[in-house]
Amino acid sequence: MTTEELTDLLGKVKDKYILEAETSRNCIKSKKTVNHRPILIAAAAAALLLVGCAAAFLGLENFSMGESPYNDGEQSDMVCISQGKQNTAIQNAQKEWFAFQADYDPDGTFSTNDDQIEEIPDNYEYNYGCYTREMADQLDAIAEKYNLKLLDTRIGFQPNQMPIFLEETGIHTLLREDSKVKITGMTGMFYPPCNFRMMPTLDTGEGRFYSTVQYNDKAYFPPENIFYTNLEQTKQWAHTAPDGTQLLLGLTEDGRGVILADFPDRIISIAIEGSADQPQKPLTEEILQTIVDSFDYSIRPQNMDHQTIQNKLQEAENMEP
Amino acid sequence: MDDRTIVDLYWRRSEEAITQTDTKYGRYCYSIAYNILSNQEDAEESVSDTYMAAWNQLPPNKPSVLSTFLGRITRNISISRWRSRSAQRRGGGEMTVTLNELEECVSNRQSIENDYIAKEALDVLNGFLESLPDIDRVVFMRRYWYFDSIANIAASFGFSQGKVKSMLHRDRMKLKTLLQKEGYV
Repeated sequence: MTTEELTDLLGKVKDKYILEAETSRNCIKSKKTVNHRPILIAAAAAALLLVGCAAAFLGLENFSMGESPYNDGEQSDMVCISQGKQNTAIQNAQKEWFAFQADYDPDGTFSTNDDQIEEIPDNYEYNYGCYTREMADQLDAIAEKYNLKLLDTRIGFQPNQMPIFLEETGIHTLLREDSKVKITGMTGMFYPPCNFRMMPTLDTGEGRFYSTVQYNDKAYFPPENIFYTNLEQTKQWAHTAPDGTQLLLGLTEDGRGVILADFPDRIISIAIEGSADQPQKPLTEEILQTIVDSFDYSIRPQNMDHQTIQNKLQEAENMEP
Repeated sequence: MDDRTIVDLYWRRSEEAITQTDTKYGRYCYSIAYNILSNQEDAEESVSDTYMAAWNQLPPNKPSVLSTFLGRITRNISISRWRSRSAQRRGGGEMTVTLNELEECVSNRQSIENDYIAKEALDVLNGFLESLPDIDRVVFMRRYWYFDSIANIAASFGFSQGKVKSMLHRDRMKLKTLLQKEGYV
């Protein structure tokens, strides 16, 4: 071994040793903390916080899973909005998986940034964040308990590949024909056979906004959630889309929006995450309403297998000059 | 802004990702680059190159720990720049001293032959770090991963510089013994 090789190898040691020394150097304002213990909020108590809603109105509290695991200690009052209502298989499964992850490997002993973890299949690693066999086994157990299937390994789509995504899934567009909103750019991921998480930038005419659209077939364990909010600072209301779909809307005080279209067999969640303009434009109730009425909630991606999509992407790449 | 949101900005190809990365991790990356290059201009270029590399790697990557992801890139880029500069006989600084120290652990007579052996050697290195007492490990990583000066390390622990040198020497000898035993030296 040479000095050069030893120096390079040292650059590849486990994250936990780098983080440990980083803490000692105290160079970073806000360091990522590993051990987040979710505080699960009882829906009955949270429901009391609902302002101006009828008793039968199913608000975001019904979708709340408790403290966001991504708050980095900076936003402890943020809660995570699930892909399923309270007491459904999806929310129960997600809660159990969150709780397991919060207590597992609190010091990041087993964590790694390796591209490939040989002992577990790719979909466990890339879709669900597993990095040990034990995590994969726990995920299997939770999925089995709630009769949910795991999604196949996600496939990333770049903006220039979006026509392939739209064509092959048979969606063609995320927006209605009479939409007042345009999509100016989109990336995202497809989770075969039929789930996706796409991130379009929306041009409303009043301003451009970042968004994330997640489609989840309820037979499958959702890979992640896309909206986090302080419920006390979120205005909520029910809305009927132009096609008759019943929606739940939320607008936060800091100018983010959420749209939930909850069907018996699938859920479409849309997060409007803030202005894409400089200077930033505030997301108002009026603009949110325009966005809401522009989406097509009848979309149903056709089932596709991982290899078929990869072949299509490869085919397109080969055709490029 | 939390790391997840910053990574999402990269995924949606928003230039705001670079701004947010610089706000949160600019100082961290610069400190790594400067320790290696001992030159403000070169360090700033390495940090800019880090952001460009992150832009090109996100997507498809989605790192679980953004700080170490960026830190590794900065370290690699800065070391490459230092090597290139050394080849033009403009090396020197803390990096040269640090490499001279690490030279004690290896023979420099044989190279690692392939990726498989390199992976095995990395396992040995991780095992070595795990075996060290906590303080020794942090001191070792600060010196040989972050290339912090002996004076800085000593100051942050309240140790004398002599004590830090002594700890590092002891741990280098442990590493050398281990590498010899495993056949890498």
